Amino acid sequence: MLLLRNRRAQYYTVDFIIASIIILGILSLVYSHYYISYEQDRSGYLSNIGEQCLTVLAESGKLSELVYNEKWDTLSQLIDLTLPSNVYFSFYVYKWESGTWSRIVGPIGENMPQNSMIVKVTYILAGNSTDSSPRKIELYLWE
Amino acid sequence: MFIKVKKAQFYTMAVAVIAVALISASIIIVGVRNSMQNMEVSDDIYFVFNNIRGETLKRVELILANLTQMDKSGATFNYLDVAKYYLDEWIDCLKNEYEDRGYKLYISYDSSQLSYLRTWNTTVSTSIFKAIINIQLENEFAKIEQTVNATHIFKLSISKIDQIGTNLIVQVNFTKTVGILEELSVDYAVVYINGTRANYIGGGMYQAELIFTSPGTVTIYVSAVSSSGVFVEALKTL
Repeated sequence: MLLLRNRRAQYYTVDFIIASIIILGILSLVYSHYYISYEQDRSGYLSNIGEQCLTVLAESGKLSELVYNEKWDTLSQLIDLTLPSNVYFSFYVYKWESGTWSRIVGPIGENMPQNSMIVKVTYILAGNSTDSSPRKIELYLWE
Repeated sequence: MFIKVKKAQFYTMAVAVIAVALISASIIIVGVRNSMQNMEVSDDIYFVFNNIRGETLKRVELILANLTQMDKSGATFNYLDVAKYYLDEWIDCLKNEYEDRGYKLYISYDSSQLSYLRTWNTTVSTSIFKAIINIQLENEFAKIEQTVNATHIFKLSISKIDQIGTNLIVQVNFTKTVGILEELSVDYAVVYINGTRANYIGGGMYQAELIFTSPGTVTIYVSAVSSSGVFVEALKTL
């Protein structure tokens, strides 16, 4: 009732609401900026982890050995060992034949979530002594 | 006064409605964004380049492995045709993958610089494939270009023969050189010395103990196959 009778109270109310909107606006701007940079940080983090994982396995020769011998369980265990415990993964393997990639296995690993940021890292293998067809590994990572 | 109060109430309500609408919209947007799957492809050009460079070197080793295996089996072949087939298939595969992902990739080699050499029936034997490969990878942010000396040299040396009574202890050294880098030991290869499987003793060295009973000339024959399949054989007559 004070609001209806007192003109100054009305001005204060309007002032309060406008100030609230300005504050909310600034907060939402800050939040949305933070949200984007957080996403970019997490995506860069997951990319780095995936690249390091595949590089380590490739340089040790294990990636080629396990892929060409089709030891998917061992490959899955090795990937799991190289990743932090809060990072989940799934992978596909493709074979290069007749000028195109054809899938030979996958998905192996965890089920991909529907509401999360997922990063895909790819590595191509040149062949080995028993099979000269290149292979492609697509590793999907999320938290 | 009454009219003024009504107007103030109207403004107050309008501002309140706008505020509520803005807050609701932002909550809905954030909610929708959180409930969607966001797929990103890792496109670090340096990682991609290292993958291409490293695996191209392995592809060249694979070519040498195939050439030496064919040579060993006595097949007749044209090494240039074999090498070009393997390199062209590899280049097609890489271009298909990375050009689809928005990269510009140029990989080339001069076939006049490809050569296969082998010297097998000496104490220090070699299997060599020479190749120079140009790789250029580009995206909207960076360009990397490198001429890669992909030459592979596998060397097998009969380094030591000790006679103890009727026994001969033979040691061989198996090494690999890629490009202009230092010699690296070839570990866990399959090495036979006069038909006896040699034991790996570390650092690219293999050893076997042979029993020889008949007097006269002894020929030591060594065959070695690396894990990638490259074959080299060496001979020494005592």
